[in-house]
Amino acid sequence: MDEDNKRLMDYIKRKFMVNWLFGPLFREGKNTSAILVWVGFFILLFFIIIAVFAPFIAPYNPLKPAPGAPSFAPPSLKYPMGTDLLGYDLYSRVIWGSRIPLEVSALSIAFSLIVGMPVGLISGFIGGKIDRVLVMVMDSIYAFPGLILAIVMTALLGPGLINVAISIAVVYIPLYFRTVRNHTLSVKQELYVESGRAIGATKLQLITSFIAPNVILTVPVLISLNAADAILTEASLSFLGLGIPPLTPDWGREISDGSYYLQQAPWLAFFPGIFIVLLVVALSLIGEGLNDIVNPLIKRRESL
Amino acid sequence: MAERKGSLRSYILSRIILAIPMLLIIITFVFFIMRVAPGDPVAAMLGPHAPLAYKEKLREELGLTLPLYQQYLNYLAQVFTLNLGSSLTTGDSVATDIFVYYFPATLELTIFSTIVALGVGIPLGKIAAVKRDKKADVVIRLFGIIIYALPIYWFGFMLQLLFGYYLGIFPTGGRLSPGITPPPHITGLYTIDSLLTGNISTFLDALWHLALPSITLGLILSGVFIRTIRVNMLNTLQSDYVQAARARGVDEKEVINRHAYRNALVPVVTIMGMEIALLFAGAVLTETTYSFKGMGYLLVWSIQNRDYTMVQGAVIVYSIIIILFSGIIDIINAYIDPRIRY
Amino acid sequence: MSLLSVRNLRIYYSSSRGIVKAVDGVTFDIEREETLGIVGESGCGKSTLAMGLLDILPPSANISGEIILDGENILEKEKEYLRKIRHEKVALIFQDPMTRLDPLMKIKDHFLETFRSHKRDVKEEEALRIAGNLMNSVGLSPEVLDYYPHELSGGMRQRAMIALALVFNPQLLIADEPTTSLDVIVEAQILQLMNKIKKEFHMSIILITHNLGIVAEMADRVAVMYAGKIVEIGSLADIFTRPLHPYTRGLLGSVITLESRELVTMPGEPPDLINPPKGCRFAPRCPYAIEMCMNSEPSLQEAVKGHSVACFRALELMEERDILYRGDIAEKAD
Repeated sequence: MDEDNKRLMDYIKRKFMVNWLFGPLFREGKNTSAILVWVGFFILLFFIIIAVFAPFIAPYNPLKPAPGAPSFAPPSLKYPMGTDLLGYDLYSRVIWGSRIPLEVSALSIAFSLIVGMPVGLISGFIGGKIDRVLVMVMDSIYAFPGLILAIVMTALLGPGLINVAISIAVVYIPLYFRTVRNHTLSVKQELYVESGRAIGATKLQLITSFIAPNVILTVPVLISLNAADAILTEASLSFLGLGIPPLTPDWGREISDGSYYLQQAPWLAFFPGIFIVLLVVALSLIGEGLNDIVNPLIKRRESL
Repeated sequence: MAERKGSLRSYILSRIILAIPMLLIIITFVFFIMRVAPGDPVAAMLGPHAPLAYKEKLREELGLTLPLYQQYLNYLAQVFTLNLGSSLTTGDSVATDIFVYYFPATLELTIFSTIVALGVGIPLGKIAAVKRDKKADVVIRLFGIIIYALPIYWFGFMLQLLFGYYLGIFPTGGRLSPGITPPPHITGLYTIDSLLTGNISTFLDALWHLALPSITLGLILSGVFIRTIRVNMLNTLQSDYVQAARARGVDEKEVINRHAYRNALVPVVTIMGMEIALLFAGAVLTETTYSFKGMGYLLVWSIQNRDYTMVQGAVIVYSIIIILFSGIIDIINAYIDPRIRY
Repeated sequence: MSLLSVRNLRIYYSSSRGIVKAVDGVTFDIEREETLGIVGESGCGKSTLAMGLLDILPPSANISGEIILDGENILEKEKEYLRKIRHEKVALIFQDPMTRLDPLMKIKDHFLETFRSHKRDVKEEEALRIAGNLMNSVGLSPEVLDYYPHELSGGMRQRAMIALALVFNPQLLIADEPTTSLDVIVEAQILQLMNKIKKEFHMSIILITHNLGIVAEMADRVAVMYAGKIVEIGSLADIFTRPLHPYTRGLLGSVITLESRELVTMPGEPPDLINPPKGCRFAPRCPYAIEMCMNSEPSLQEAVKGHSVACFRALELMEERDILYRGDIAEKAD
């Protein structure tokens, strides 16, 4: 590959990824999608800050009862979200509890990307029988209820953060595979890939320098849409008592623990749920907004 | 017209043929997860500190000491004869337990939830599209996003709290009130069986117990329908045939209801097909939340009680149901929309 | 009195980039049992005009001016009156018959629905009998009424659309590119059919097309549109033998002639309808443009009896007609 092509690729990267993806976010004027993305982004940032600085934000040790705390104290200035049977401060536990969902979903998305994307790229690029078999397998897995798959896998793998992340990743691999493969198929037909072939680029070069950079465009949208789902799945697994070791602060587990005292102390189940809802809504807003912005751009480019 | 029927028949046939490899793939995938992937089922069942001899005995009992291919063949035989072994905790036949007691409960819940999801989602989606960008549209879309973000169990607890404990309108768990005997087993669906035997009070009690779980699961699923109906209807409202109908001086109400709305409803069956996985996953959480003894409840219970054969049986039945249901939906779809077959 | 008089009609769309002046001050008349051809390139506002005449524009459009049908300005009337006008007095058939019929409804349901919306007292059997007769007169078997749209060919669908348009024997039929998506043989059949029903039903027709051949075959009078305006209007003979506007000449030059067998095209592109040029909209492409053309806009003036043109240099050019006709623009294109 010569200089010109490298420059062309740089140009495409700059132009299509940076400008097309993020340009509309900064453009002036009324743009609902961009506003959605920003709102979602700030809520997400809020949660990341909480998770990182949990030791400084949480007033009490989440793993010990708050000193002198009564059991089932309702929310007050001292215990903003109340206390449970043993006098644990729920607020501190919820703050610390933001770590596991964020870590697990980030890890699981990374795992499914690492597997799903290259397989999708290669499958779409090679085509033929291998492609058809892979599509069939992935579609079949995708048809199966993801949560049930994750439940069974976590039950077999045993507790642990990595194990949960792997279980969730398996559920989402077909999603990444499908999207990347379909996009590869359409990019493959495009003129500049043809020209790359004409100047004698090898298959590997075609994939890495021509196809992959373009296919990657769809991934941010996919990730943000998928992240909301991953958070919900992680919380569901913890709610069912799977995966995350007992006593670890985690939103799903707090809801499950609190549900036993629903009448006496409704706050115990209520507050962790609000945090889940907020984070999932934030991620959905980012996903939906990016989708609205990026999809027409990608479509427009494909029609050029 | 005979030709049309013929093409439907060949479509159904090809759909059935397609279902077989899909079922094989899922079944194999389940086998892979349960036997080949890291994680020892016996250790998972007995816990890390169980005596070694104990583990070996169980391994033998479950056929886990056989060579892998033999295990796979035994497993396939199990699946296709639906002889799923017996429960490690109760000793009951897994297949009988699932098909007689647990699956009908799940079926009942999913049917009623789907009714709620459609009943809420379709009208709201329609209103949002007709009132595009007005207040009603914004509120409905927000509702759609938030409802989809709710953890099902949390939403269930909040509804229990409100309607069960504070208002006392609905029961918070179970399929029937204590003291009421289940209707004689015909289909396993309490509402249908009680109606078939003419037992109205049992029917009402079963319906009363179904209310909160179905509303919980149905409302959460309605978000997807709101969204799709809205988008579809925005498209059909701008379609050429709607414009042509307006040019013919057709009443605006008829334009919306007859042309835009009916055409927007066509893909609903397709969405239902895609929602099946979500429906059954949601049912697992709903059943756990409401102690509603369906397959999801059984699955979680068996995992907690380390009943390996029961877990495997439940997953196999899930696979069969999913393939069966999505096949049926595809066929219904082809029947409704003649264009699919062309 | 003319059947339909359009006075100073303006249709502006609001878009994110600004106001699109799709139709900008259009004035014309159409007499009873006359066929008026409206020609122009795609995007010149022809189709918007067609929809504007029935006031079925999308909400983003703003319409002003007068549309006087049978002595009444329909733009001043309330919605219900307008709705009745549509199809009863003015019917519209479209470019793409593939997508204009509801895919979930049989052909007969389209008829029944139309009756229901306009004449509730007509019984179903009566409506179906009328529909059957109309199907016969457009050359379709009444059995076709029981078909779904996707079971028909493009030509059959357009015939069905025409039958549907004739239900209430309208005085005016607006046909927006009725044959564009059809192949040549079907096109000829449909045009023949339109001529036949025009006589049978004593209708006027507004035929909107980019195809001069169709206009030559069908129209009594011709209006030429460019960038949202009518630039020339006159009888078929006037327009084809003595075109006055340079754009009309260009259009006529674009037709493949038997002698040269090559397509002569006009240089340049139609202007952006958001920011049209200040003076004459054709000036940037016009081989005869002088300074005045760039600064002020010519209005549509009667040059010869029954033949109007919007061009400052029309009279001047009329005298040079013999020299300039047809050859001039080709030269410029070289």
